[in-house]
Amino acid sequence: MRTGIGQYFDGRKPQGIPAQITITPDGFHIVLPEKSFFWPYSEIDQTQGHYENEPIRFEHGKNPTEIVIISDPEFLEALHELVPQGIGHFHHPKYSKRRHFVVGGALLATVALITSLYFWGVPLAASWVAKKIPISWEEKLGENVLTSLFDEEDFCYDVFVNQAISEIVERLSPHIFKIRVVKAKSVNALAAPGGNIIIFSGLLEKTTSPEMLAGVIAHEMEHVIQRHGLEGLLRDIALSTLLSALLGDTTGVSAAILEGAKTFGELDYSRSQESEADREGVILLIRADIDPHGMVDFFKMLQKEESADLERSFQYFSTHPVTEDRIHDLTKAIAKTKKKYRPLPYRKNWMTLIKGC
Amino acid sequence: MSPLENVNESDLREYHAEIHARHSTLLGIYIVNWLLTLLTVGIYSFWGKVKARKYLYGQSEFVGERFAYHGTGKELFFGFLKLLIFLLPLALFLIFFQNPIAFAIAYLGFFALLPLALFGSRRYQMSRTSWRGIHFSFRGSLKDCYRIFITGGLLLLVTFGFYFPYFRVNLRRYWMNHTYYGNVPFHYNGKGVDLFHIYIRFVLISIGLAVGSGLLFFIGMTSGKIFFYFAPFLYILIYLGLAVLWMHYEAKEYCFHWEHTFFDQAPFTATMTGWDLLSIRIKHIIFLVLTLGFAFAWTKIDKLRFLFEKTALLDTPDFAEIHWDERGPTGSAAGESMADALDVGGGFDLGI
Repeated sequence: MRTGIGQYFDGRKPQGIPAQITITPDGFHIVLPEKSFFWPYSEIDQTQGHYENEPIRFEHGKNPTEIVIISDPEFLEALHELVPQGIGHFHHPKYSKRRHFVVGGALLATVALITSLYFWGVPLAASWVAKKIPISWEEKLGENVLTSLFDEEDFCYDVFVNQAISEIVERLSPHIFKIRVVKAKSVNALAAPGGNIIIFSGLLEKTTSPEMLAGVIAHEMEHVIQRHGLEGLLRDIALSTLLSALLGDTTGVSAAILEGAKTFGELDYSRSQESEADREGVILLIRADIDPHGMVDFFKMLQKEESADLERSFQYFSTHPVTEDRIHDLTKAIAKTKKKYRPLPYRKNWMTLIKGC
Repeated sequence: MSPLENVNESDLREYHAEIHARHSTLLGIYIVNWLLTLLTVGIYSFWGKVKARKYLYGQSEFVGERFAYHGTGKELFFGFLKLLIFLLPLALFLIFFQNPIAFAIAYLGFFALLPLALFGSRRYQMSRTSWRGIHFSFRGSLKDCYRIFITGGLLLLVTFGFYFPYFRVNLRRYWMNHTYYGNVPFHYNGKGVDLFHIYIRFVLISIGLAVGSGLLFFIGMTSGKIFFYFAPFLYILIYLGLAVLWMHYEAKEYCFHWEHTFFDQAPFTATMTGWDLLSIRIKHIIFLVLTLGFAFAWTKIDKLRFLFEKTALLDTPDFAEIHWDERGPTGSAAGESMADALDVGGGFDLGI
């Protein structure tokens, strides 16, 4: 038999009473200065003593709970040696020694799991969920996004410009798309969820043919058809939740690290989505009997606008793939098809028409 | 006024809590928590939180005995589910119907829930904390909590923030006077006017700094182009100066509250200074940045060690007068979850 020395607390008063705790085959025999009693192992919980520098704490009963605290770290080892059965719910000191291996293994597994989720799991899940969300919800979301970005006076209401765009859209797709031109110098276009596409007048004025604009519109249409916008939003939420849940309450520094990590990873998704929109956009143009070289000409125009050094240096930090690569990929894809295309209307007076905004 | 006014405080012994935790052990707990949280799609996080908390409480010692935490993952999980039933429809509504009225309702809802979250969290955490086998409890009424927040909120608006120290004192009084260890309550006798005298000094210095820097910028802009090169650095310097100044206020307020807090007849004392606060925060930021955030376990323990060193109870309580009180309310974990969701604390203001 083995006896340990400890403190007993009856749960009614905070004063501790010196106690002798003897290990028996069925439980603890506890002796106090004025009384003694027996606790069967099945009625005892060990609530502290699992770690170094921690006294061993056994609890018994409820309302109030009695407690025995033993400072001798070898008591637990002796307990497991003397009582091989019936105390599986007590901590065994041998597990403390294995803790380093458990933690090391957990760290490796966590890194592997997070990496998989970050690069594959979350994008796949976001893509799957995006396709399940009703179109009407997405349309509503898209309208709200545009309302928050632009006012009514920002849009271009020129009849000829809007008519030209409508005819391009009709050729490209039977689905309902709402394409509007915003009066702004930016050479850009964006696709909001729910079929809403915005073309900035700065981009419009850079085009030299309706086929170039058709290339841009086809690209943005594919973002809508593939539901990249909604997918991106869901991916954003999932990544934030994943990273925040792991670190719990974030400090300002952790929050900054999280935001950086999330943005860094997200740019890669945007680049793959842009490539998909290029590829599918070309197919859309060919099916609509519109010359896809317009899309290539647009990127060549973009390339002239951008500085080559800037492109190479900041490739990773740009949301779009490097223009040279896109031109190369598109030219290669188009070269496989050899056909004559039906020209779009307004070709002859295009340069005058685009100044309407 | 101290109940021990006739006793020379320098004759009283200081009793500080101590922390024995190791950051490697705490980090190990968090790493295993992360893995199990990922594998269970977040469900294990509640059990993981309890595990980390039990470790920190068990490694915190006061007058020779460790604290104990009695919460369970199951309680936190079901508390969170109760909260989710309310929050999820609201979140979906806000995402898909981005209506200004909806956002306004959400903001109002946040402020309306704040007192409830703090109240619920404190009640839960106190009831799950024990020392020497006796549980703490919080016995304030929710009605009083809302009264303090609503009155305080309105007076803050009307006084352009000058009511702030009074609000802080009223809140502290409410939390402390209704917090019990066993059958014995804590007691707080701070007065709003005393904290206001400290607060107003800092406000006046800040106003002085703001006006002075405004004049400096005005003079600089008229002096020529060379000033524009120094302007960003000057701006950063003034911003940092204000931050350091208010850290001093934070330390003074911390000391003020604890020096007006008593348990039984024994007063607390606090010795934190603004420079202490500044140096520990800089130290933690540097460590977190250098370790990409992995030193958070170390900073958590270091923060507790710092707070324990700076706060003490003068003289031990009379244990003969303290006993278990079955009237102590148990509290629901939904309050704890709500406080977590709204990112507000609720337990003792020692960061545990």
